[in-house]
Formats: sequence, structure tokens, C-alpha cells
Amino acid sequence: MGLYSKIIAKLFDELGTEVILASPYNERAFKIAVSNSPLMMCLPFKWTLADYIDILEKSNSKITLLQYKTCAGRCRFHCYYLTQTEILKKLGYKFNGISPVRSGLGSLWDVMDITGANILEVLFAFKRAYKRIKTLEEELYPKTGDIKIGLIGEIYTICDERSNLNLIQKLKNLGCYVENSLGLAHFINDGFKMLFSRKRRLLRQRAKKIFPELMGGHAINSIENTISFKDKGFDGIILVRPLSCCPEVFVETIINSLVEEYKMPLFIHDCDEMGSEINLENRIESYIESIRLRRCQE
Amino acid sequence: MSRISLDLGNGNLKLGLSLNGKFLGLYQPNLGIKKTLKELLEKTIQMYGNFTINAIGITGAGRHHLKSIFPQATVKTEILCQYRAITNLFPQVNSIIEIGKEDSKIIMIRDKVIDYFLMNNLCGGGCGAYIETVCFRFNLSLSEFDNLSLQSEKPVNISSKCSVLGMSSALNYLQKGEETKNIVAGIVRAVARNILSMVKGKQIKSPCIFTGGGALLKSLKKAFEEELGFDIIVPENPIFTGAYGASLYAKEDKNITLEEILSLCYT
Repeated sequence: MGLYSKIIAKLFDELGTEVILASPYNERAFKIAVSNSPLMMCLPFKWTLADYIDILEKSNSKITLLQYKTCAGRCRFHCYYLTQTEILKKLGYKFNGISPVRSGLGSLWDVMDITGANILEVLFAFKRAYKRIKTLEEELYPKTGDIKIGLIGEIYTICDERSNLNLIQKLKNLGCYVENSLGLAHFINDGFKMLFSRKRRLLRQRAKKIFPELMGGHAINSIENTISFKDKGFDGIILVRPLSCCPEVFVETIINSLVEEYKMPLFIHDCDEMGSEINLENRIESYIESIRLRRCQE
Repeated sequence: MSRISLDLGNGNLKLGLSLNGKFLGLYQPNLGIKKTLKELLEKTIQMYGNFTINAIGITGAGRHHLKSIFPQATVKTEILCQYRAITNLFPQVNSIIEIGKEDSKIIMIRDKVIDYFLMNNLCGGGCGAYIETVCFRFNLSLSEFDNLSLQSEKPVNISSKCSVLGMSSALNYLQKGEETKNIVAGIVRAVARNILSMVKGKQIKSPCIFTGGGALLKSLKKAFEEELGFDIIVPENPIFTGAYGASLYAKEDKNITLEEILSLCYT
């Protein structure tokens, strides 16, 4: 179960579909998922698979699993469900299959198909869910603090605290103001801004001047957000990504040169199942303290 | 004014004393924090007598635990303490390499400010513990390991990404009849390469200071110099630079005797 699962569950509940939520943290299911995934597979794959295992263990065989199928950014996330179905069947679970839910406007149609509701009902349910997501994010990210930290990277690992080892809470404890450039509400908004806001398109142009090609995942967003955090006068940037995430690894060189030019310290947090929370705590504290020291000296 | 500083690393507990402008250090392997701390403090009192301390500084991976014993102490992370100590000793420094028992760090300094720092995160192949494991397997003391490695002219190529795989390739060489000196030199080079691989596109600039327990190995210093292409400097007491930094940070607002500090360890 991720950060937004309860809100999405409520959306389906309001549209009259029974939902079974995965447990917040099922270590046993995660171990099964890890041991049945390829070693270098990214962490979001392993956690979503663990959630499916958790659900399948407490439900009957008539269940249909859902998976958000991103069509943007050419991330492998859009074909996770195919491999995961294969793994779950090999493990002997019986279920109806995993039904992909498209992103963008396609999701309206997919939700109508699943729930049998009409377009107006779905639209209103989406609107209510969006509001709830916004409130959740406003409460989640600390808005007071002397050091301003911007989060960039891959959306799943930024938003899922099981993957990023409670990074947000750690930053909060260290007295940081945190802005997540890839929160879900922000991400939905960004899609509209791309269509209607000239300022937003200009930012994409600035990013494309630095790197003209789309390299998949959220790599282009990471460049844009680095520029945008610099414009907003942030003190530091944390790049959160799954360990083997190809686009985010690829974009690192560009982000490195950007932060060097902007004199903004960068911290890279590679998330994988072998990470240790205490190690992260030690490194994050050093990072924030070095920013404070830099500020004193300047 | 006298200061005491404690650097609780993963391997050893280092105690630094600043007395009349002089810095003295003692260390002991960490076999339980309170037990080790008591022994170190007792040793200090035996050697220097019981006197008043005006400032307490704490650093190292175990700093939070030490803070629970001494709530009044100034606590700083290892990165800041190393930076403070080294810039105090070598004001012109541009980069710092620190190798501890179970972690290693690279700190880059630009215009006397920390520009970037890196700590090993995904791999333990660049730490002192790797070298200790090799010493144990080859039945060598650290100084024997160091001397043997310096004698080698043809170090073998050993995996630098993982200490376990590194160890297995070292044993494969041994089984093929390779000389021990070439194998240990290969391991030293693998450790240096592993640490330098963390830098990823950034440049380690001279003057570079090499500190931490790893800096006691002359062979490791030589391996870094070969890889970097310039000479690096090792401070006089590399083990204590962290504790020295902590003592520089410590606020002089306390009035507590060493015996009283020792009694806090019994609570």
C-alpha cells in the first residue's frame, strides 16, 4: 500500500466497487516478491508485486488486480503487469488477471469499464480524489524550516516511504522545508499546465536546450525541476531513484553539471531493498549540516 | 581550557583531549559503548589525572547514543568534523579522503566551503573491514600486510566492486600459485579504485588529504597516488582527525571533571 492507496480505494468505493487494500507493510510478501524478481529489477516492481501477493493471500480467486499503466515517459512501468502476472501465476495464485489502467484521459474510460459508472460520476469522483490528494500532500511535506530542499527523481520512490526509507520524516526532523516536484497532485496539474501554460512550456524548452532528447522515466522532469528549484532559491536537491533506474542513472551526469553550475549541493538516494535506514539517516544529517555550514560561511 | 571529544566509529572509539593547546588521542576497539567508554576514561584519568573539562564534543556513527549519555555535549556529523579538523590543519586543502572501518568518505572543498561529499552506500568494498578480513584469511598483521604490499611490483587485478567477490578472486589467485605480495597489493589497489569510483565525474583535486584508520597503510596511500597521479598528504594522527574536529566544534560552557564524566557512564 502506497501513499495514495486509501484515496484511490475511496474513489472506487464511491463508484460502488468493492476494494481490498494491501497491508501497509507486509515484510513476508516483500521477501517473496524480492526472491521471485530478477536481481537488478527496480524497487517499484518489487513493492507492487509484494502488494499483489499480500492482497491475493487475503482474497478469493475472483479478484481483478489493477495497475496504473503509464503511457508517458516510456518507463518499463507500463509493462510491469505482464511480467507480474507471469510471476504470480508461477507462484500458484488464482485470480482474474491484472487489468491495466491507462494514465491521462484514458483512465476515465478504464475506470468506467471497471466500475460500470457513467462519465459524470467518474469525473466527480476524480475531482474529489484530486482534492483529497492535494490535502494529503499539503499536510505531508513540511512547510517550515530554514533549509529548503527540493525532491527530484522517480515518482514511485519519492512518494512511497517504504522505498525511500522515510526520507520525508527524516528531513522534517532535521528542520527542512521540503517541496516534492513529483507529488501526484503536482503531476496531474503539470499535465494540464503543459497544455495551457506558456511558462511551463518555456521551462521544457530550457530543459531541452540542456538535453534535447527524451530519455524515458522522469529524466526530463528531473532537469526541469532542478532548473525550477534554482529559480525558486532552494538550498539543495535530493535525487531519489530506484537503484537500477536507467533514465535516472542516465540523467545524473546532466544534473551533476547543473548543480555544479548553480552551486546547489546534490544528494543522491538510491533506493533498493538492501538499503539501510540508519545509513541514510547518517548521510542525510551530514548533507543538511553541510548546507547549514555553507550558509554560515557565506 | 580543556576539551574532551569522542568519536564513536563502527570499529573503534576514539577519545581526544585538548590540554593547554595540545591535542592527545587514545583509542580502543568498540566492544559495547559504555564498557569501552569506561575503560578509555579510566585509562585517561590514570595517565593524566582528574581535571576539569570545559567542552565536550561528540561525533561518529554512534553519536546519537553518546548524546544520550552526555546530553550537554556538542554533536556534529563525521563529515563536518573531518572538514573542520583538516581545514584547520591544512587551510589550502581541496579534497579529503577518509577511510574508516566500515565506511569511507570523500569530501570536496571549493572556496573553503564543502562543495560535495560522498559516503559509500551500496558497497563495503572500499572500507578497512575488507582489508582486515584479508589479513585474517592470509594470517597477516596489518603492518605485515602493508609491508608485503609495498614490496610488490606486479599487483594482480582484483574485483573492486564487492569485498566478498574480491576475496574470492584473491583466493583464486592464491590457488593458482600467485605470490602473496602481489595479491595483497592487488587488494589495496582494488580498495583505492572502489573509493575513487564513488566520485562519478567529479574531480579530486590536489592538495588532497588522506585520513582515517586506512591512512595508516602506506601501501594504500601509494595506491591512491598512483591512481590520482599526484601526491597526497597524510596528517600526523589520521585516526584522530574526527575527534579533533569534534573538539574544535565543542562549546566551552561546561564545568565537569573527568571523574564526573566517568560516573555518567554508570547511570
